[in-house]
Formats: sequence, C-alpha cells, structure tokens
Amino acid sequence: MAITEVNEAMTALVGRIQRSTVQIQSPRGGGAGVVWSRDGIIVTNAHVVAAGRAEVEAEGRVYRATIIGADRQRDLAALQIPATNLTPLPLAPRDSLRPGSLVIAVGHPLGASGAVSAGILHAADAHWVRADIRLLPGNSGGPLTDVQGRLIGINAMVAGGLGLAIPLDAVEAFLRQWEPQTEVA
Amino acid sequence: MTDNPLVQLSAALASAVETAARSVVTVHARQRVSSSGTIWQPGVVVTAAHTIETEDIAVTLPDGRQVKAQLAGSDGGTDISVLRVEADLPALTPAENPAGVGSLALAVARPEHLSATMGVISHWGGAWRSWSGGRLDALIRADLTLYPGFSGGPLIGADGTLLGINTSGLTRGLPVAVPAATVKRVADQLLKHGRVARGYLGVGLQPVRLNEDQAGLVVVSLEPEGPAAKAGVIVGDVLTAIAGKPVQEHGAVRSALDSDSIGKPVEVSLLRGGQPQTVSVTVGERGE
Repeated sequence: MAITEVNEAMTALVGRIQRSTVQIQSPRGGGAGVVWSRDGIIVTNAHVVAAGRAEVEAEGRVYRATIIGADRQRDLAALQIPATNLTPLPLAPRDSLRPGSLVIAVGHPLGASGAVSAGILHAADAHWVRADIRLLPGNSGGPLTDVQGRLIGINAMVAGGLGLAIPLDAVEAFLRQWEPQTEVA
Repeated sequence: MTDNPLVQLSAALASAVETAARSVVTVHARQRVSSSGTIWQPGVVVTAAHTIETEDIAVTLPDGRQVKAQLAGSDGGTDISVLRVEADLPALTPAENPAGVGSLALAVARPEHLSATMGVISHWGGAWRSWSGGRLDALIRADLTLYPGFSGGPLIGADGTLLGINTSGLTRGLPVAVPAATVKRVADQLLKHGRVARGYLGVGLQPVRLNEDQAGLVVVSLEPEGPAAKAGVIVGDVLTAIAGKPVQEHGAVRSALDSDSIGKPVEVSLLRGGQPQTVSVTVGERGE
C-alpha cells in the first residue's frame, strides 16, 4: 500500500463526492447541500435556507430551488431543483460505521468551493455521527462520507472541536414526511 | 477484500481501534466527564492520576458491565494511577520500537462511548522530567486532539500496538503520552508498594542568585537527623550541584532524587561562607 496510491485513491474519491455536493446561496448566507436523487432532491441544513429562498449550484449550473420542507429542530431541509440527471451519493450501510475509519467532508468553508477535509469517525449514536475532522462555516449541509464515497451523514455543526453530522436514519425519517403516499387499490 | 488502498487503510485503522477497544474502559472517579482507563494486565487498569478525584471508583467494562475498582496507588510525577478490578480482560501489546515521527497514531478512549481520534507522531524524544518531578523514558507527542475524557486511554500505532497512555495532565499545554516503559516501571512500583519512592535530603531550599552567571539553592531549614543534617549540611549553606549536576531550582533537585538514588551516597557541592565544599549525603526515602 504505497502512500502515492492512497493519495490517488483519495483524489479520485474527492472528485466523486464533489460532484454530488451542491453550493447553496440564500439571502442570509449559504452553505452546502447533498444530491439525494437524480431528479433534483437536495438535502441540507434548515439553518442554511432559513431565509426561505435559495439558489443552488449543481454540476456547474445555478437553479432556483423550491423548499419542500424544513425541520428546524433536527436542522434538516429538503429542496427541489429542476434538474434531471444529477448524481446522488450511495448510502453507507448503518453497520459500517466503525470508530477509527476514515471519513471525508466536502463543503464550501469561507468561500472555498468544494473544499475537502479528512478525519476519522470518532463515535456514532442515534443522534449524531461524531467525526474527528475540521469543519468550518460553509460545511453546513454538506456530506460526510466514508472512503468508498458513501454518505454517512449531513454535516451540521461543530461541538467541542468535533464535527457533528446528522445520521442517515434521521435524514430518511425527515424525508418520508414528503413522500407521495402510495395507495393500494 | 477491495484493492482500493484508501479503503484498506480505513479498514486497518478501524480494526486497530476495535482491537484496542477491548482493553479500554471508562473510569468513574470525578464529578465531570468520566475518563478512560487501559487494561495493563488482567485485573489491572492504568489511568491518568489527575482524573482520580474521588475515593469511590467504578469502571465500566467494554461489555457495559460496571464494576468497583480499588486504587492501588497514584504517581503524580508521571500522572499514572493503577486500579485493581475484578475483570479478566486482555492487555494491549506494547510496541517494540519507538514510532517514527510522521507515522499514524490513534488515541482510543471510552469517556462514554468508544471514541477515537487520529494524527501523526509529531515528536518522539529522549527521557525528560515532568514539572512534578516524574521521570519519563521518552517525550511522545502526537498532533491529535485529546478530547475530554481521553486521558488514561491508549495511544496506539496504526498496527494496534500500545505506544503510551494519553494524558493532558502532565504538561500545561500540549498533551503527551506516557511511554509504555514508564507505565510498566511505575505500575510495578504502585502494585508492589502503593507509591513511587522518591529520594529525600531533609532540607528546605530557596533559590538564590549568587552572581550574574551563578545561582543555587540556599538551605533555609534542616530536618534534624535527616540525611543532609547527618552529613554535616547546615542552614545557610548554598547548594550548587548534586552528583556534579548544577542545581538552580527545585526541579533539578527532584531530578537528582528519583527512586534509584535512595540509600546511595551522593556528592553535594555547596558554598559555605563563600567557600566551595563537597559533602557526601546518603539519600533517604521521602515519606508520604
């Protein structure tokens, strides 16, 4: 395992994660978001779109976003943009979260578009995925992934020097509220 | 198994943490956040002495069971405490060689849940003295964050071997790891005697400047029948060196009086009435 091979694998991985990370501008600031579906569902933090309007830059194009829903307590928001061929991140299996494993965050801290931080998984429970990783304002709403590029959580805040991400179970529970109800006839 | 080296590296790090985690416990011995402990040998846990604040000590084992712990002893000089617990858990394997500067290292802890943080070895230097007088066999620093409750947990290499015990209580600044060799020496003494023996001269000393280039320690009190008194030291003498090493502050005296010095004669250089003299003092053992 040569270190150059690790670096090459890392840069390839980062490129994949960046493609699925969007930049969000809203009247009161902005942040990052995660492509959740090919047809334009974006997940981010509620505090990123607190102003009620947002523009989303995805794969080089800027879209006006519709805010489908927001949960301020859980700090999650779902947006819809009129795009049809986006690249969502695969989801990490819940049992794959091992403390010590490498994690990657992509966001736009301090205006640095698509900036990358790396660290390790610190601990995980039902409420938070904690990572020993350096996050800054602008990472909010962006993805925390494993080294296979699978989404682990949505970066939301820094506490005690640790990066805290909202786990997938909470994201999925939040999104289920806006799923069309299937009727069985 | 994937051939992606990044995935392999990540899996190796997680495996190292999982292996170490079998030997990492939670130590409940203070009001605020619990600290961590490391299984040193079956039934023996080492932790950071500065995290022991209560006499009633409990330990949560990796399987979640909570058991009582007995304090075998503490050494403030190296910030190591040893606890006895009724639990048969595996000890970590100490690394055979110093870790190279730049190599990956992980701090593993269990302040509540199993937690880990990573960095590189930023310094692996020679033996040093802590400000509280402890002798440490190497100065080990890693550029990782010791979060609250991480003191007492192990610093491990990427291969899972034990490099030292993490503590934020030895240096007023950057955290260090107490080397495994030091932990062994201190733990052996604590298990056997309940304390780490320190040498004793039986003098009260104050730093004093003699001239622009020279300083020493003036004897301001003397223990009657103490080692120094027996050797003929008197109040007003100015100590300038012990065993040939200059003493200008208290730390230097503590350094000269570690447990190896006890019972042995040591040459003390002093000034009496401005005249240099040497006396031979047989170092005693300091009572607690």
